[in-house]
Amino acid sequence: MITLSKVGDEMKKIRTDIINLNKKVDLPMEVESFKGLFANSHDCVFTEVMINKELTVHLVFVDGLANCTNVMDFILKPLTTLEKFTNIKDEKKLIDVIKGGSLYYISVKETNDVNLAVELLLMGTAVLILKEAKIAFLFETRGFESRSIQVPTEETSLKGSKDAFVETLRTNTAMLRRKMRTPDLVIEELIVGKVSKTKVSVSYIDGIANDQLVKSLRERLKKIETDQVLFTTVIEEEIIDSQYTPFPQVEYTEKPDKFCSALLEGRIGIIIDGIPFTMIIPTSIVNFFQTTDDYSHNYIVVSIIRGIRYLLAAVALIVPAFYVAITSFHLEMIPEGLALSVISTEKGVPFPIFIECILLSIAFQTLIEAGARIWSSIGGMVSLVGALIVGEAAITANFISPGVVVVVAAAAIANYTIPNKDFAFAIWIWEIILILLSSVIGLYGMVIGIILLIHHWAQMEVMGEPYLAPFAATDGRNSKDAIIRSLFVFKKKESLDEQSKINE
Amino acid sequence: MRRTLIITLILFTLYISAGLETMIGGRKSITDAFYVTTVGLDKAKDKIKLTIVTQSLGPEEETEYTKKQDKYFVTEGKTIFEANRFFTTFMDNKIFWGHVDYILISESLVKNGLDTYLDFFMRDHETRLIAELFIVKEYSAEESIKLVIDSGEDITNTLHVLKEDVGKLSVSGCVPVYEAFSTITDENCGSNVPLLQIIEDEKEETDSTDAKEASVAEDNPKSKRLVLDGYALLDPESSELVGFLTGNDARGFNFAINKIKSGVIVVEDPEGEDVTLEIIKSKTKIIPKFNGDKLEVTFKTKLSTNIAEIDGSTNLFTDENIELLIKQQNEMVKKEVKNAIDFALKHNIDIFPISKVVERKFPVKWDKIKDDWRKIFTEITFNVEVDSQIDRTYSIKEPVLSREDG
Repeated sequence: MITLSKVGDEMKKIRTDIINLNKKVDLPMEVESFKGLFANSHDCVFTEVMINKELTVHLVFVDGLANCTNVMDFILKPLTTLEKFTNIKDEKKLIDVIKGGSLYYISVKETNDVNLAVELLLMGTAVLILKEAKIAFLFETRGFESRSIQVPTEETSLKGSKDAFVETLRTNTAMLRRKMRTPDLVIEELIVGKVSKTKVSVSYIDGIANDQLVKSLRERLKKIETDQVLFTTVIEEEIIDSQYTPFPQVEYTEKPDKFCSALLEGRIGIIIDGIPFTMIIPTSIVNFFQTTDDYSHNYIVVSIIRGIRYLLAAVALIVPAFYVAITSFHLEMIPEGLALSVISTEKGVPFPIFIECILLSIAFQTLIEAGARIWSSIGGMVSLVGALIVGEAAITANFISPGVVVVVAAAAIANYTIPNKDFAFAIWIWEIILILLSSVIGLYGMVIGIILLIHHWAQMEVMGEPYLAPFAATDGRNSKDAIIRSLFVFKKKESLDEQSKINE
Repeated sequence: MRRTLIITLILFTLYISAGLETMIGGRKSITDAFYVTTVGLDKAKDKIKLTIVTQSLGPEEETEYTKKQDKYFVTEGKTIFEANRFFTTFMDNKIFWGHVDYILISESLVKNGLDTYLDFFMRDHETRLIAELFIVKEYSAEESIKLVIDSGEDITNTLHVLKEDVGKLSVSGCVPVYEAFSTITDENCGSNVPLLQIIEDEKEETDSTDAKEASVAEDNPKSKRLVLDGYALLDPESSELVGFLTGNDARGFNFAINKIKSGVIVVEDPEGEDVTLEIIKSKTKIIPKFNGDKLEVTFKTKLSTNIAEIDGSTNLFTDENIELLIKQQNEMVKKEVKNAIDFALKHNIDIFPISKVVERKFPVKWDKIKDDWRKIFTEITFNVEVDSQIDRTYSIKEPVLSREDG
């Protein structure tokens, strides 16, 4: 038993122990314990409540996390004004009265565990400490400012719902409940992060999601050893199987409808408190070519658009490497007229074509990065400077030939049509790799690069699911919705079939 | 993994910055290539004269829009390969043969056989086997190339247009290198190569007394044009040039070998006025038949034409008149085919080739006779049957000059 009477080195050591080792420290349930732990925290409010001349209790809460009005109206005011309390002479009687429901609060807990009290205090709970009885009552007074539900910023939708996840976990789970009013929707919660103690929610539909998958994910999340979960990758890097790949293995969404749709497909969703983007696993390559709007438009139109997306991804990946190969090794493949045009545009350019392609490709990516990072007040400058440098000055100064600009720009525009930006960026990295390979041995190099890429995809798995599913390593059950968007009538049947298979 | 990444990064940096990319073999930058589009082969004493044509963009300052210009270079060598290597002595660009579209060979060179000169084009990995072969009559290949280029035209484009339009009259054809090679290597059938001729336009006779006009006419020599007309026929064994089929005789040959796309047949109406018929469809079957050891070959041509122009005023759309036109066109086609057969018999060359049909239809018999084919060929009895009809007459049935009431 450690008794704390003042703030000192010993207290600091205990605090560090709690943080670093997540060790439960045996502290007495008295206000000094809390004062020691939150000695330098000015937002932690310690209030001494004199119920009458003979009885004093302490109320502790964190300003900003707890709703002060509720604390005053439903705890402080009754304690000091209600006759039931003012006549009480000892703590034993006070405990009985509180337990009897005189402080009409829905969620009241009694505890003598300081660790639990501290944990809940940091979530907005008000702690009423009774010194002699060495117990505390915990009142669910959570109430902090949060962002209201707004329109999605990254995933725009023409016909779909316009709500987006926010930073508050409970608001997000409520959105899920509103969309799927079924008890089969399971929302489990874990605390991850030794310091941040972030709530991480695992959502799935019981009966549709694979139990083994849920169990595996739960175990992986429990094993996470980290100080904080302020960013999604902290979780992502722990749950994915292939670390050495630029390709995303987790699908992110800020749209509850997309999230729910994924749950109905038997996938598992992860919501992190404080992050408005949710994660969906397992994922395969087809998920990165689909958008929620795909299910809001005519299936024929969407199927064609999906096909075009795959085609454009191939264009983004291959076209610059193909251009380098045919202009450096396979001249016979270029029609005479085009060859003459290429020769005329290449006149005076000091670099080999493959270096031009790499430089320009990096320049385009630089523009994107600059556009994303630049202060909004001068954001317009990026496009202006970019257009001037890439479009005009580089060509006029004979740094880059117009033919290369056309090819790399076509690849860049094709790349932007990939709905998932992480996947698009990974494709860009492979575009550079293919350019380098084709600059060494032409089309053979390009083909070797493509084979390596397919091999790389083929060996990837996300939570045991093949990355190339349903194109490879599956029974092809979901292939109907891979490129061609199937009608909902068929999807419903598939879903029921799947469920019955799981039940069997 | 980290070490691999670092090593990759270092190698990449070296590759980019240290000029290592120049060490890669096989790379030929497009900017260093000299695209040969047309090739000319001529005889120069005991050597071969090689003319290569390339296209390049003209100086931008000359016109607002860049214009393609043909340039030609000439070297001589004991072989085509040697002549080709001599280009490196004065040209700074690498000659690239991957875009050769046309190969012109002069008559004088083919007189000694074509097979020797095709070897280079078959063997070289850059040359496309779909390049078209032409034999230039009387003139040299260099002269024909110069003629076109000096007149400000584009030789490759000119040949391209001639090739595209060859079916309009069907008096010549197209023979790519691979096809010529396959016929040359067959000892029983003669090869045919399209014939390019340079023709001189007739000088217009003028009765103008204007001295200035007269002097201008005298200063300007007769203008020459390149035309694609007829075939040069080569000997099956030596691939030497044996003769030419031109004009309607060449069309007769095309009728026989089923290469008619279109064409014009001019016949006469009952009043002797011209009626022009346009060939729409033609199909010829070569039917060999053995009567004992005697081979009889029938050319069965089915022809369909359309009335394209009526110069007279007679209403032709009666059964009698249509029959008259059909009869005339049958006779004309029959005559043309017979002329081609006569040419083949005269030179004892199976140009059609009938040997292939006999081989397909009578494979056992062919094994016995193939060694004596040239002898047998001269003894073949040829029949020509033409079954023609006039299919389309457009909606105007009456001639424009018709005096009868419609």
